[in-house]
Amino acid sequence: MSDGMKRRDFLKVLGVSGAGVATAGCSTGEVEKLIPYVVPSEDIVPGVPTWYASTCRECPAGCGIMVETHSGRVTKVEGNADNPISRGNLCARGQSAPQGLYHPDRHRGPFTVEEGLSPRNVSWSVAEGILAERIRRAPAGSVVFLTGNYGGTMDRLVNTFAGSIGARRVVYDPFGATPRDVDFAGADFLISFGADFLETWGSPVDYAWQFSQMHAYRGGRRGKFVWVGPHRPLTGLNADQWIAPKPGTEAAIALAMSGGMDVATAAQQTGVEAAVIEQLAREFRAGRGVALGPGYATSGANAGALQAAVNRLNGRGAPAPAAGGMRDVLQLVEQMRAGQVQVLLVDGADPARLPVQQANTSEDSPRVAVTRRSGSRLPFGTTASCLVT
Amino acid sequence: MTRVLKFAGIVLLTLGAATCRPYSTDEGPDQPIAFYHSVHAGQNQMPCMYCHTSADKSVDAGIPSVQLCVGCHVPGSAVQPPENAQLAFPTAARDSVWNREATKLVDYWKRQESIPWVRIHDLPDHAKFPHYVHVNVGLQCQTCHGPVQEMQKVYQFSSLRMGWCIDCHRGEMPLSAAEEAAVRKNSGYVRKIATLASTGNDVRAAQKAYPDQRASTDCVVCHY
Repeated sequence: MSDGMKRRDFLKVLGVSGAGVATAGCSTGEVEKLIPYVVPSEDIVPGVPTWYASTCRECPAGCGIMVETHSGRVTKVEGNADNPISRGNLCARGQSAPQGLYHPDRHRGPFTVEEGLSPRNVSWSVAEGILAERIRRAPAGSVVFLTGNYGGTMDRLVNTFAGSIGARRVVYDPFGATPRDVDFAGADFLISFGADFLETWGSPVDYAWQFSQMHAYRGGRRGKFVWVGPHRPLTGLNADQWIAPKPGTEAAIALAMSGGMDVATAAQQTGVEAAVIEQLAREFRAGRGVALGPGYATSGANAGALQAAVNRLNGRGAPAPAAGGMRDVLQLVEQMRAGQVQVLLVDGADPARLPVQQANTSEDSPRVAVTRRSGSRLPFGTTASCLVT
Repeated sequence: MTRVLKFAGIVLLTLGAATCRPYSTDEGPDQPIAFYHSVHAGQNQMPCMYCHTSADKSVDAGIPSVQLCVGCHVPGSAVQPPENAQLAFPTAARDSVWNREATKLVDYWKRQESIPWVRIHDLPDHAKFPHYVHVNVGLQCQTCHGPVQEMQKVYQFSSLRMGWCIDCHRGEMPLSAAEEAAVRKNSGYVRKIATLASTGNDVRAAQKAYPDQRASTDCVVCHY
C-alpha cells in the first residue's frame, strides 16, 4: 500500500473516528445545582427588575433618579420623570454613579495605615476603639472635623457629634456655594460671569433644561445668552456673545450694568468698549435679564466682589458669607503646620487634592502624628496619607 | 489493521451508546434532603406556586427558600434566632425517615446555609424558556412536568427536546379540554392570526399547515 490507502480502509478509519467523536460528545454532563435563598428578599423576582426612586448625590444638586435593580444589584440609573430638578434627565456624573457603587477598589471596611506598613484591615469595633482613644488623648481644641457642605438632618448630626467630642467643624465644599434654585427659563436675556451652568455649576441638569427653554425659538424670538470670562468652556461655547474683560475685572462689568459703576470707568478697567457695556445693560433691562455667577472665580481673590455685583444686578441684597470656601480650609492647613491639630476627621471632603495641602502632607507626617479618619468609599488622595481610616 | 479498527469501532460505539443519558428515568436523582412531592403536593394538596412562587411572574419558576420550608417545619422561626430552631412535631410516632430528613432541614436553617438541590429540568443556554408565559396562558404544571404530586423523587417526565416543544406549539400534542380552551383564549399568536384574518389578510398559509397552531414557532421566540 505504498501508493496510498485503499478506499475500504479509509471508510473504516472514518467510521471509527466518527464513533470516537460521538462517544466523546455524548457524555452525561455535569450535575447542575439549584441554590435557593436562605431568607429571600421580598422585592426580588428573578429576571424581573425592581425599581427604586432615589436621589443622586454625585453633586449638591440632588437630582431625583430611578434606580433599576436586578436581584438586589443596581444595574442602571436614570432621571426620574416626575422630579422637578431632573425632569427625567441625568448628567454624566449621575449616569456613572453605579460605577462608583461597585468600584472594585472601594473600601469594604475599616483599615489602618501606619507609617512604613501596608494597610491592615480591622474590624469595626477595633477601628472605633482606636479612634475613640485618639480623641480622648488629644488636648482640648486639637480635634477638627473636616466635612463637606451638608443640609438638613445630616448637618445637625455632624454638628451634634462634633460638639459632643469637643471638635471644631470646618466645611470644605468647592461646589457647595452655588445656588441651585435659579429660575431663568422664562428670561429673554441671560448673562453668566464664569458660571458653567451647563457643566458643573449649581444644578446642571435643571439649568440645561432651563437653558433649552429660554434659548429656543418661541413666537419667532429666542433669548440671548452672553458669556463673560477669560475663556470659553462648554457652557461659554453655547453663548451668543462672548465678553472677555481683563481677568479679575468681571465685577466691573456687572456693576456698570446695574448702575453701581460709571460705564467709562468700567470700560477703562476691563478693556471692554463702553458701547458694548451700555448695550449689555440695555438688553438686560429689556429682557427680564438674569445674571449667573461667580463660577470659576469662587477661588479667586475677587470672588466676594463679583458675587456682590451679580447679586446687585439680579436685584438682591448682599449675599450671606458662603460656607465651604477655600479660606477656612487654608486656615486649617496653617493650623496643622503649626502643630495645633492632633486629630483630623475627614468626611465627604478631599483636601489632599489641594496643591497647598499636597506639599504640606509630606512635611507634616513625620513630625506631627495626625490621625485622619476618612469617610470616603474610594481611595482618594486624603486616604493615601491617613494613619487611621 | 482492519480487524483492529473494526473491533475498536464496535467497542467505542457500544460505550458511546451506554454513556448517553436517557431523558426519562424511573427514578430521579438523589437530593440532599429526601423531599416527597407526594406528601406535600399530593396528600397535603399544597398548590405548586406556594413554593415555586415566581412561575407566573418570571422566566424562572423559582426554588423555595429555606425560610419557606422552615415556616411550617420549625415553629417560631420568624421570631426565634436560627440557633434555637427545633423541628415541629418530633414525636416518636413519626417514622424515622421523616424525622431524619426533616432534621437535615433544621440543620441547614441553623447554619443559615442554602440547600443544594440537584437540578432536574435544564435547557441548554441557547434555548430560552419563559415560565410565566406558559403558566399565564393556562397550562397546568403537570402537562409538562408530569404527575409531580405522585412523585417521591422528582424525575424529568418530558423530553424537553425542541421537537416536543414544537409539537405543542403547533397544536399536535393533545391537551385537556380546559387547557385547550384557555390556550385558545389567551394565546397571543391565536389572537394575532384572528386579527389578521378579520382585517382581511390572507392567512391561508398559516392555517393550512398547522390549523390548530397555538403559539409562534418563529426561531427568535426561543433563540435570542
